[in-house]
Amino acid sequence: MRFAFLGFIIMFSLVVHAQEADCETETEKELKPMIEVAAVAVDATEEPACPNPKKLRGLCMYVGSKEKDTQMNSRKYVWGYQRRLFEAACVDINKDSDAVIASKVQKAWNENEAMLKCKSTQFDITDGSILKYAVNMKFEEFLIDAVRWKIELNKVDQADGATVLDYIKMQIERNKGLPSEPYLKSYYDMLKKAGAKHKSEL
Amino acid sequence: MKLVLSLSILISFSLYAQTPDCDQEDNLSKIAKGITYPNCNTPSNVQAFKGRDKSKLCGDCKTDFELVNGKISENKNHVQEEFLHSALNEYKKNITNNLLNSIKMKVLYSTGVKFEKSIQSCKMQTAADFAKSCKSPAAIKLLSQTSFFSDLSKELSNDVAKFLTSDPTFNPKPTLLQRSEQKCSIPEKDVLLMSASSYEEALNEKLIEAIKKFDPKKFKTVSDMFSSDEFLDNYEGDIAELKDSLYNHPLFASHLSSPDKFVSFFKSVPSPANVDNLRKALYSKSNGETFDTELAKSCETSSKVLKDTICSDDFEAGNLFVDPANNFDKLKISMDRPSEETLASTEKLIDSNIKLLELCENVNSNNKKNLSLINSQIGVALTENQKALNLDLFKTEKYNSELGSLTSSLCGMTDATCLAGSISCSIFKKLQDSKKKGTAAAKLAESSNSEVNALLRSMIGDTSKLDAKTKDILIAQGIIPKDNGEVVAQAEVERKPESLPLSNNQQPQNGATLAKAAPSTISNSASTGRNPASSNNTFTDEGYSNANTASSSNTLPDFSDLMDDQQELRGIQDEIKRRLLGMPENRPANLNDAKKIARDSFKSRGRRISPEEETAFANRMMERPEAPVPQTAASTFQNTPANSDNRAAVSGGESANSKWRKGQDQAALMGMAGAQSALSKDSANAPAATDNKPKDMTKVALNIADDPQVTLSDMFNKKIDQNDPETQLLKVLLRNKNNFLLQIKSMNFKIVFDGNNFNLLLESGDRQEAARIRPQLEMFLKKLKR
Repeated sequence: MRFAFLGFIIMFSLVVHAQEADCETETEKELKPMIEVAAVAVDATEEPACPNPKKLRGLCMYVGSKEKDTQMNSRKYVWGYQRRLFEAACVDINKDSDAVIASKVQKAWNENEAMLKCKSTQFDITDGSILKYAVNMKFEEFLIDAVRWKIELNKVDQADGATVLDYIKMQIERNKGLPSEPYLKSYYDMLKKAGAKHKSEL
Repeated sequence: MKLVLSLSILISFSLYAQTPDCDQEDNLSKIAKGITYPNCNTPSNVQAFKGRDKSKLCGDCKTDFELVNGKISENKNHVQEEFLHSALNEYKKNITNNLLNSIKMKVLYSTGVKFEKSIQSCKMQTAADFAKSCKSPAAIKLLSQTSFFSDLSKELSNDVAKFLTSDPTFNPKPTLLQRSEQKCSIPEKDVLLMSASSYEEALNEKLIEAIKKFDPKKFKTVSDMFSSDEFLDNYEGDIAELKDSLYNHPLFASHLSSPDKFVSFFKSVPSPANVDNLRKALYSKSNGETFDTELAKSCETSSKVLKDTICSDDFEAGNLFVDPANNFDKLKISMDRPSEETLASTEKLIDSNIKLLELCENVNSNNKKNLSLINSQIGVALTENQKALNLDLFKTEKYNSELGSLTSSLCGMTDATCLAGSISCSIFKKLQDSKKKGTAAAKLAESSNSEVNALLRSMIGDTSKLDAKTKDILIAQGIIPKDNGEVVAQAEVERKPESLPLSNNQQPQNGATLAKAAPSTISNSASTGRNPASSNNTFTDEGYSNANTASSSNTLPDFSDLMDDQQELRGIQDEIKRRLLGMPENRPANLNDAKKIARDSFKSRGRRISPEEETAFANRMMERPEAPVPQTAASTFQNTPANSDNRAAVSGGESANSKWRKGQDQAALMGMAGAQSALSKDSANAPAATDNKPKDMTKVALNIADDPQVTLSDMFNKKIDQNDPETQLLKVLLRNKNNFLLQIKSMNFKIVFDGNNFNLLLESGDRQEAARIRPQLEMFLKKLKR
């Protein structure tokens, strides 16, 4: 009888645990990234080389060429820029959760924003932000990642005195009636939804 | 006990069953939505199926749709039509890429290669060529119904003309590239020329020497190499910019396919690996042959795959797998898909779905011709990203990546925003500098690139249906022959880097002239097309046949400034000489011709000239492009809106003289005082040189401000620096030893030539004042004459 009762208790607690694991409470959801970010901060103090700005030097090239990652041995890298950015941000692709990755990338991004400007003969702004470059190259995946990593979307570029949303709007006007217009509009909507603003709204 | 145990197990199972599935609601709503609206042809649906198991669209979604609408069978004809449409578009994309590379070769140094392979392989194919020995009647029928090939020939010709013209108002349709509107106009050939030169110069000695020592096996891709520490430590610029630039250079591109090829090429650069030696390697015959071989391969593979596919038994039998989910954007049906709102529960929804689902295969696709695969093989020269684009998007993106974005960037660039060390800044500077010096460039400008012309001619194919303006440009460039079969002659010069070493200020080019003068006041001369140093640092260009009306009131730029395109000009110039001097049209204007022109011209006026005079006159005509005769012509071209009529004369326009007069009238209407005077002498320059009657002389009014703070010398020097229209006209007159009248304030001077020297005579006005300014004025005129 005692065994039966014990078995019942164990089963019950397992069930309860299973429920908890699948559906987090709102508080837990809110706290989780903070806890993870705190963990990152601890990690960061242990690794002084992070973020590593040197790794960011070729980032524009990978965005411009839309190259896929050539080292297919990891489960998460699809694009070359992801590897480059993750290496710069010291992301451990096998251990870090999405929230941790986002916070690490944000940190690397914010600390090295000056390096995340692109020059290219295929880019109509010299030294414009890499976000604008991605828009120019119609690299949607990079923009999706930027939104996912909660990258600051409202920086005003010195080069053109505009935010990325201003830039897209200008591009939409320039490409009115052309096949690229719908793509640009979708970027506009996506970034606006993610909190991007026009300079006039800041 | 057993009961309790069973009970506990049951309870736990039931609790498990009640465990909420966080996504369940979403999934259910999706399913419900799918059942309510069995619409497979929505962007989101097609997008969702993209890249997934092909059975999804043609399986699950099709089944859902068939539940409501009945069975849909594969429609062979429809599949064939869509397959052909998509494959032809891919073929066009590949041709666009090949054409652009060939055009770039026209503005670069010569490699000495005659492009024999490419001329053969890139020859324009017609529908008849494809239909010849084609096994598929269905393909032949579809080909006969499409205007694809005749359009293609026209598009190619229009693009070549657009690349080579300096006229911003010339926007032919249809074209292969979809050009977006630019803030300013810079001739495309200039952008191609200046950028290629800047790309070469971006590779410094330190970097090249470092690359030579690279172990290519260490890198998987060229990008890996570019972003390596070894590379970055030796290059101070932006590697993204460098890599994009090298990809855009036709003679570098093939070396970027692997680290091994890249390193091998740089190993061929002799030491010291400076830009001159780099150019030697780049423009070597072997590198030219590599280009020729690869271009030929691209053309050949592309057309062979297309023909082999559409003429196959599989095509005829409809054994085709269009993979509609993955190729949706490239299909015809994607272009006329109704909006999602319109589709809901309407007949359009049904029709649209049927059209899409008819493309679905019912049997195993392994034995079928796979459109995705075929397209990839047809677009052999395209990058993976370019392959993914549909034709419309490709046309826009290709323009932007090759020209549009750079032009836009250059339009917005000023000295202040030009970032030193960047390639785009280097291009900007070159565009600025191009107007200042042009000795070596001028040689190249007038040089022939008959090899590339032959290649372009082969690519264009049928030119019988071209618009007059396009045709004229191609004729003047020596790309296609005149109606009588004659090709416009162009000077032959050694187009090798070592024979024409260019400084950073001098660029190699063919078919493009680097303007010499750059007066900031001129906003409508051809030179300004490449002159970002105008007052607001924007580019304007009118070049070849500009319809400049707005700001030409007092503009008479130097002759060479008026015509960007020397090759084009030479053809026109020949015709002008002939027409003005009564020569029959379409006759080559060589030295002997010129002598005859002189002889005949004087004879018709009842005068005889000595053989010496004849030779002198002929030499002057042949050797001095800035001679007043062509200047008159150029002025007319500059100020004649949409003057294709004038250019038509190049190919033998019938009413040339009347059009010529019309041009003069228009020039006069523009209020160009100097030009009017110059134009009034259209009865040839020769009599002007010998007939000194004041009434026949050109009159130039020189504006000298009354400023006691500034000395006369300074004022004249400023004039020289500014090189304003009057100064330019004076230069032309002085250098051609033309007698003319000069008005300064209320004084009228007569400049009369005696051999090489001129006399400055006061015709009327204040003698004392004339005496005061004479020394400075003489000095000024002498400087201009140099």
